[in-house]
Amino acid sequence: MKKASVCFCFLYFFLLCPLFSRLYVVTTTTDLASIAKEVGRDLVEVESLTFGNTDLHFVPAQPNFIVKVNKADVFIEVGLELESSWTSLVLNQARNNKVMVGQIGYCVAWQGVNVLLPPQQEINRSMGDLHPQGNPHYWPDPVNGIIISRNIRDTYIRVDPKNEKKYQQYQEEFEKKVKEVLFENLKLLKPFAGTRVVGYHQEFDYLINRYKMVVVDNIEEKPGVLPGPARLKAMKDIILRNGVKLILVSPWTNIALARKVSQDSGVPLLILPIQTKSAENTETYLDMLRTTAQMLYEALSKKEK
Amino acid sequence: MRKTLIWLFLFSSASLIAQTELDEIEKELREAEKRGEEQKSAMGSTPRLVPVRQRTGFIVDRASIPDIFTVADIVHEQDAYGIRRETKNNIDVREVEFGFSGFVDWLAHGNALFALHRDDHQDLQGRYIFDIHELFLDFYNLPYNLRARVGKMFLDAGRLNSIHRHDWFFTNAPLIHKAVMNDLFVGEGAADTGIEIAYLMPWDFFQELKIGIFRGRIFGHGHTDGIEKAAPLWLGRLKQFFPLVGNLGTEFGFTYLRYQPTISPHDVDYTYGSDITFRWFHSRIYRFIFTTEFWYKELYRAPTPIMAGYRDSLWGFYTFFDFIFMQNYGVGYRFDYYEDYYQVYAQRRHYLGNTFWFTYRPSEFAYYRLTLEARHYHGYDGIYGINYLVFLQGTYILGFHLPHRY
Ligand SMILES: [Zn+2]
Repeated sequence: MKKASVCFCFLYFFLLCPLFSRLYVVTTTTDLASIAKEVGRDLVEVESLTFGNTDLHFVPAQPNFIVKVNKADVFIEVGLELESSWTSLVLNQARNNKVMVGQIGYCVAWQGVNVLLPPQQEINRSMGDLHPQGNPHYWPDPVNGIIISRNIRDTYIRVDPKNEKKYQQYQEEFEKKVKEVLFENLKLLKPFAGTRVVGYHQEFDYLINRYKMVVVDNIEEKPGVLPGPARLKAMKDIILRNGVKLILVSPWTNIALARKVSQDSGVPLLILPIQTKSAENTETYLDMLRTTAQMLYEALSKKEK
Repeated sequence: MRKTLIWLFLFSSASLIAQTELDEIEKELREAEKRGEEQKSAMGSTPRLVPVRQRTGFIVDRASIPDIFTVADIVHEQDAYGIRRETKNNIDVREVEFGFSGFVDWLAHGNALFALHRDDHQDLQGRYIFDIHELFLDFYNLPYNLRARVGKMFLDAGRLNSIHRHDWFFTNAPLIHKAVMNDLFVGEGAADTGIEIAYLMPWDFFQELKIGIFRGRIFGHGHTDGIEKAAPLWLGRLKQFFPLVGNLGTEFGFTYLRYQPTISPHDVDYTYGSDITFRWFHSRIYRFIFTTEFWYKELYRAPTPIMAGYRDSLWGFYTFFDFIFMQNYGVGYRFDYYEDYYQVYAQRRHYLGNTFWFTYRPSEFAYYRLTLEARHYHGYDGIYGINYLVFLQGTYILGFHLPHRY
C-alpha cells in the first residue's frame, strides 16, 4: 500500500514536472496568445480563452475560464475595457492572487500604444456603449504587435527573472520578424496610399492608418449600436461623396448589414479576418498580418482594373 | 546590429520603401517605449505595480469612488380575471435597486445593494419596503482554492435564485421558484445572512462545491425577523461546467437545503434541486440560452401532544429558452409545472403555465419586454381555472453594469 502511494507520488511529480518548469500563460485573445508564444517559446505554455472568430466585446464569462486563470502564472489582456465585462468576473473568481490586476503576473498589452480616439470630452452612453477608453482594436497594426511583445517580455521577466536573457532574445527575434512582415506589407500596399475605406465597427483604424489609407467613417455610427435604416441610407451618401473604394467588415460583426451598404452603394465588401485563427491563413499573428495585407491588396487591385 | 539587418533587408527587397519611412517606424517604436516607461515610472519605485486597464490620465479613482448603480424596474400588468385576480391591472414601479461595490482593502471586496419594492403580504398592503437585498464581503484570495462570502445574500440555490430579477430573461418568477423559495409576495428569491464557502475543485474542468450556513430565522423573502431556531439553514451546492462544441457550453448543478421552520428541532424542510443550462452565442448578433430547473421539497412535522405528525410535499420544474437575434431582439418561451400535497386536504393540486415574451434591447443597459402568460389551475375537488396575463416591462441601469454571471 505504502509502496504504491510512493510510486504514485513519483509518477504524479514526474508528470507535473514539465508543467512546473514552464510558465502557464493565459491570454484573452488568440492574437495575444500567438505573440506570447513567440516571446516565450519553449519556456511557456500559452492558452487563449477565446477562439479567433469571436467578438471580444461579447463573451460570456464561462466558468472554464476560471479554471484556466486559476492555474495561470501570467494573464494577458488587451485592455482599454475591451474585455472588462467578463475578465473582471473571471479574475475575481479565479482564486489566483498572482494574476489579479496590478499584480506581478498581470499584463495589459496596450501599454505604450498610441491609443486612437482617447476620451477628450464628456462621454456618456448616448454615444454608444463601447470604447469609452479609446479604440481598443489596436493589434492589427504590426507596430502595436511589437509594443505588445515588449510588454509581454517585461511581464515574463518579472515573473521568471532567471530566464531574462532568453525572453529578451526571443522578443528581439520576434520583433525582427514583425518588421519584415511590416516592410513587405508597406511595400505591397504603397500604391494605395490615400485610398478611402469604410468600416463596419471601429476596428480597422489602426491597420488602415498604418498603410497610409483613410477610414472615412464606420457604418456603426456609435460603437456597439446597431445602425438603423436612416444611418444605412446616409452611409450610401458618405461613401459616394468621399469616393470610398472598399467596405471592411470583420467575420464576427454584422456582415449582412455591411453587405447591404455595399450593394446599395456599389462599393465592394471585404471580410477582413483581423484576429489570429479567425480564418484561413491566420494561424499565427504574423500569418494574420500577412493575410490581411494580401487581402487588402487583392481587393483594391481588383477595383483598379 | 539591428540597423545593419534592416539595411540588408532593404537592399534585398528592392528598396521600395524610403528610408524616411523606416526611420518613422523606429521613431514611433521609441516613442511607444518612452510612453510605456513614463507610465511605468509614474507608478513609483515598486516594480510589482503594473498599470491597470484604463488609460493613464483617465483612470477612475476606484480607491475613493466605488462602482455605483441604480436599477429601475417598471411593470404594467393586466389579467383576464380568471379564477381570482392575480395582478393589479395597472402600471407600477416594481422595484428600484441601489448598489455600491468595490474593493474594501487588500483582503476583501464589498457589496451593498438596497432595494425598494412592494410587499403584497396582506399585513403590509403593498407598501414599499426598503430592504437590504445584499450586503456582503467577498474574500477572493483565500488559500486552498477557497472563496468566502459573508453577509446577507441571495442564496446560491439553483440557477435563478442568485441572479437578480432584472437580469432574468423573463418578467415573472416561475411558479415553482416562488413556491420553493417561499417568496409569494415579492416574487424574487430567498435571501439570508450567513457565510458561504466555495471550493474550486483542482481538476481541469470547472467544478465548485459550496457550503453555506445561514441564520435561518425565516426562509424566503419576508420582511420580518422570524424566530430563533435550534439549527441554522444549511445550503449545499455542487456546480460544474463543460464547454461543448464551438461557443456552446453547459452548466449543471445540484442543490440541497435544510431548514427548520419552527422552534421544534424535529420539524424540518428538506429541499433538493437540480438545474441545467445550455448557452450558445455568435458574437453579439445571435445568442441562445436554454435552462431547466427541477425542485422537490419535503416538509416534515413531528407529532405533538395534540396533533399527529405529517409530511407535506411539493415538486415542480420550469424550462425555458431565449433567443436573441439581430443584436437587439429576443423571443422566449417558458413552461411551468408545480404540484403540491398537503395532508390536511389529502388531495393534490397543480398549476401549469405557458409564457411567451418578446424583448427589445437597445443596449446592454436597458430592455423593454412584452410578456403573455396563460396559467392553468387545477385545485381541490376538481376545481379548474385558467387566467391570461399580460405584462409590459421596462428596465434600465444607471451607472455601473455588474458583469453577468454565466
Ligand atoms: Zn470595438
